[in-house]
Amino acid sequence: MTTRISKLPTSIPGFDSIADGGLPKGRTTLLAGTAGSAKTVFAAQFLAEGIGIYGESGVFITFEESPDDIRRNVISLGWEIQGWEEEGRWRFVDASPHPDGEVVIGAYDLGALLARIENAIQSIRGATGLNGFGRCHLQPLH
Amino acid sequence: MMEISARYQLKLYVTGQTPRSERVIARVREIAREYLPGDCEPLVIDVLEEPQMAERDRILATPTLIRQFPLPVRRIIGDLADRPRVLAELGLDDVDYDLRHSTH
Repeated sequence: MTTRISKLPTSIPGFDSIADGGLPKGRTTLLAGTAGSAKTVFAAQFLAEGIGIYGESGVFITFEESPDDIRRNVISLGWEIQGWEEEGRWRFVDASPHPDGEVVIGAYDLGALLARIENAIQSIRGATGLNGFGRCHLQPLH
Repeated sequence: MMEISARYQLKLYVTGQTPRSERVIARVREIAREYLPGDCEPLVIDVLEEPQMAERDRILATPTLIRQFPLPVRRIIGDLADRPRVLAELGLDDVDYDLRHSTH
């Protein structure tokens, strides 16, 4: 007899039934797909339903589009994320390319990105008063 | 020369007080001391202590050196071991040696 992996419901219509209850809880899920296959919408909806239905909070880390672009697109789908941002329930970590550009001279690590993600997760935990409970979305790379 | 150095503003992001951080801090301070006499102490920021500043400047990698002034802003990632390239990127490679020591 094997123990089932516990699932985190997404409340994305249809998904939870085909995925046997949702995404694996407490694990990392990689969402892969071609350009235009709605990976970003899936991710945004995952966070939005988590906040709206389950009272959770979420961090959206974006490596391509700017938070402004994503904000605009998500708001046009009917999710009022600006209010959630003000309440500290939705946080962006903007890892999109910087307009000033960057040159690389020598070895480096991603310590700053990790510190920023850690800081974002701490802040949403504080906002919801929940212990270690939140949805984290890492924007998929193509 | 004082005018040039007054216009320079350098910001260096590191992660923690590691030997690697210490090394890059020393390199940047040495360049500032040698090429930018006057009021140009580089601002060193540890992302573990000031993640909000890293957020504001959208820093991903450490070390990252930012030349805030003069414009345009330059962002350099890495341990800066290749000094001639760093100087070129900061716009200090064509500074005449005698000129930069004339204010001492």
